[in-house]
Amino acid sequence: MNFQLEGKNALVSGSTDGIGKAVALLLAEMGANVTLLSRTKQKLTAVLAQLAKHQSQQHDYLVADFFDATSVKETVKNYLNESDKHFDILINNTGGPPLGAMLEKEGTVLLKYMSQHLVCFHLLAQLVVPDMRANSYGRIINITSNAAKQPLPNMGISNTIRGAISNWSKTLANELGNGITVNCILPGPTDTKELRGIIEGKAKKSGRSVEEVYKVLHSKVPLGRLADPREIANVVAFIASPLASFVNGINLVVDGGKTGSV
Amino acid sequence: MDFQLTGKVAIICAASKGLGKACAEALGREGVKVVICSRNPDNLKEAAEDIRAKTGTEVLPIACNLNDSADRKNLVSKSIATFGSIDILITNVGHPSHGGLLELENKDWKLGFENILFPSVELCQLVIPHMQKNKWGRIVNISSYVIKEPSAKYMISSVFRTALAAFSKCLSQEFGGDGILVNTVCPSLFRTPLGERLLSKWAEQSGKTVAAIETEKGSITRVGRIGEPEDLADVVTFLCSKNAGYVTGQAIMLDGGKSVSLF
Repeated sequence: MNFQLEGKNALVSGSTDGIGKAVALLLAEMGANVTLLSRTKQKLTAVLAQLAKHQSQQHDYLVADFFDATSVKETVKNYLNESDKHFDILINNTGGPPLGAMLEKEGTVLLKYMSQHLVCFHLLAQLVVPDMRANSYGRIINITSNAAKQPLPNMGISNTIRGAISNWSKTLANELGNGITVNCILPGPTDTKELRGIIEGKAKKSGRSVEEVYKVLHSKVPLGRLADPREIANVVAFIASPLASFVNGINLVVDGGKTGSV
Repeated sequence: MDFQLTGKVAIICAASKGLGKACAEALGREGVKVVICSRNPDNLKEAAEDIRAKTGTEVLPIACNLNDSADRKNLVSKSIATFGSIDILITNVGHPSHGGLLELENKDWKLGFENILFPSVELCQLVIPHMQKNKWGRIVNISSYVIKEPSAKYMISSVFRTALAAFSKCLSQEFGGDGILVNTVCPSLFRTPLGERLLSKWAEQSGKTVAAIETEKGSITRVGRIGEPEDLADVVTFLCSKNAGYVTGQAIMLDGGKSVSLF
């Protein structure tokens, strides 16, 4: 099946590690021109070098820190103003918020991560939609977490923000139309550096071995394993393609069946 | 993108027209051998020839009334006799009686169970042991967006298609360990024989043209059009592919954004 992504321009944020990186690599493999957006230049140049390049494909990167929403906005805005580039695909993705009991979190912490996720996603959507409208084609894909559908213990900030993004995304899906779809992908447990860190922390805290913690996690997933980041990227690429033009305003959980609700 | 579906065997229900036929074509293009069934042998023969011509794949047409248990068993045993395995099952069933509680009769509810839910239940029961042998299987049940937003106008459909989604979710839990993925797709109004009949009926009732009604219904979706069978077939084919290896237990709306609720 041809995903018809050749020549499409994609802005992929949080793209130097984990799922974001897997998405950038796959979209490039499928012929899209990828602009990476992350905070560490060294990592960006390393990923840039790994992006597949056929024929006239052009990839580049932008440096901005999602903890500084204004700089994210200005960086992308200047880039769009100074080049004749437009984006057909926006992949909103950034690092997960800290763990811990919800009630103990300071309001400022909640604001900080709300800005890193929701506000940055929103500002980026505002910047890319005018061109998407002009071209009657756009894909805004927000990579969040299965926590948006089923809150996870000890992950209150993440649960809260992911839920907000789902509603933000659905609202935009209703507002935009005209060939632009807006969807959320909700990954379940995925084998990333971030999750490995969480598992190690959990093992340390509970006095269990890392293997034991993995075993418990695996037992909660009907498929009995974690996702490879590439498996999440596969779904993102499909939703980004013209083949998925009737898929709009959904929250697609990619979790090996872990989430309990239908 | 190679979906790694070449040589797999799929049973696709109600595949002489509409959504089922589009699925058979899309899977056929990926090299899947397709068993298609339909009640009407003439339509079935025509569809088989058309799918063969378009995709070059092997097509086994089996005349079958999906509401009949003996026919369902025959469908599965003939598929096995011909191809030796079943890797993919796409269930797709008819449309039940319309009406609200006071218009519906007991027999309508009974038929709702027998014709909407149970064909999928029995077909899954029949094919899953074959999938277990290969530690690989894909089941996609075609339901409807009404599972998210039930409608009093389509009460029986709402109730039994929701049951179908619950059934799929249970299967995804029970057989995930066997490498069998089970998902539901939930279309809104599509350009199928049923969809076209509905458009004509609404046009007649309102005194508007069919085109005007289609524009109205299309604009509700946010994508600005009604669904085309290929929209659904591409999603179903993706769900059957190796690319969707971590997607199971999902009820995926295919409604262009028509349903207004979040979950």
